[in-house]
Amino acid sequence: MSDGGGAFAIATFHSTHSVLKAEKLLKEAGLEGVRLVPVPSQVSSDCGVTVRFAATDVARAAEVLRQLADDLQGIFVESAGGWVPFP
Amino acid sequence: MESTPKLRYLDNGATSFPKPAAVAAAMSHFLLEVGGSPGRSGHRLSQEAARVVFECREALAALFGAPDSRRIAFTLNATQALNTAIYGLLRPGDRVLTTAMEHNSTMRPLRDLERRGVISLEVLPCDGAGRLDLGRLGSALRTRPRLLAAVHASNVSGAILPLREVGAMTRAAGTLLLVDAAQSAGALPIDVEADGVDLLAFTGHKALFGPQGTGGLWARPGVEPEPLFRGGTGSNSELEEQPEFWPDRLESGTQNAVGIAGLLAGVSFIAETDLARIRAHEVALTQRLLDGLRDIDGITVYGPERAADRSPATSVTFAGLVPSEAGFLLEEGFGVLTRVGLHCAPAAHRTLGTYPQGTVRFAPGFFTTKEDIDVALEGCRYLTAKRRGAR
Repeated sequence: MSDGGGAFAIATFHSTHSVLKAEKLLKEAGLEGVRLVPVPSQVSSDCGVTVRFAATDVARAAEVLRQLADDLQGIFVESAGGWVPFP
Repeated sequence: MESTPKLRYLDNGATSFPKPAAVAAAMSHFLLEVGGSPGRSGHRLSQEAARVVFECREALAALFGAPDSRRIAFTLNATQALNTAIYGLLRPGDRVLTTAMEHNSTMRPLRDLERRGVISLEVLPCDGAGRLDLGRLGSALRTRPRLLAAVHASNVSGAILPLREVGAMTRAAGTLLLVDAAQSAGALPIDVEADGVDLLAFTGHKALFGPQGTGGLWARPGVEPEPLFRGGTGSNSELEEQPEFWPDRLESGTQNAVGIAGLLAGVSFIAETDLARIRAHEVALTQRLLDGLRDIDGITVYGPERAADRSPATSVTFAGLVPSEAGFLLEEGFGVLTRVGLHCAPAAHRTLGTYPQGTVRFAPGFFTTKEDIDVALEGCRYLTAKRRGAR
């Protein structure tokens, strides 16, 4: 899953709408490398896509995504080939 | 009148024409370059399509002052939005108010529920220009009905509902306010928060400059209409029950993403042009039309006096000439395209006293020119002079 670099984190949502909103908010907040990816098989999500960013940005992302809290299912950080809930 | 006259499109109340070039370009781009099913597959074209739908929702929310774009569900048109609001919210025993200027897209669903004994319906009177009697509204609200369904701008007389005033009244009474913004969305300022609107039904293909087959329903959080249709939403796929959250709750089946791509370009066109500028242009044209029409003997003009107090839809009747014939002659002789008859709003025509023959409706739009108006007026003068000569 890692593109020759550091680990990733993802945020999953009930609706595609919120995934796209999250992508927009994270980009506006200046996070690098934000993109939509399919939901990893180890994580369950109501919709098929999730927003991915660098694991080093996870605290910042969690702060930004608080405004989507009612639709947020979870934030996960990549660790040893699996996904660990954050915080 | 030998050759075919240049077309003068004055039927923007039915649908705006032409559309901004950017609308056609966005739809072409979508069909040739984007084209995925929004929110269904994880691949880039599906994501790109979903992004277009998302951006259109955001742009509409900004236009209507809606704080959360998730609360806008796309529909085929204002009719589907109104039906969703009416059938999705009203329950046995509900008391409902509406106005004597409604389009059948509101009146027919309400009359259906009334006939089947589900709701009781009171139709509030409007004056001869189509303006709601606010005194009667005030008394009717004292009994705290569940819902007021009201048209923002009449498609027949151009009368405008004083939205903020009405919204303050319904809010104070605890009555939900459903606004039919088919004619007004994109043409008149709307701020759902400040105006006290609870549900806003709009179409994409009129003043929002989108293609036909686009529209939507916005509802305030806590106002949760049941969907008319249930089905695949691309979310909660493991469940056999419809998701509760917006917009998926009301958006089953593949959405009209190509249409929504066009609508996004239309809404962006409004933002770039500035709604106030669009409104000023349409008011100037409508005033020119009203002044010219009132100078012609044998024509009766309906609706509020000043263009600034109305939407561009301008209805007239010709003495001794039925609307269908007048419309035909205006097109044949002058290339002027109007809409004649009852405009799907028999209640409005009863209010104006133009039922059952209806009126000839001129509806200038942003792409209408002064010359178009002048040719229409020339046509009207010709028809009335000919009529007088025939006597």
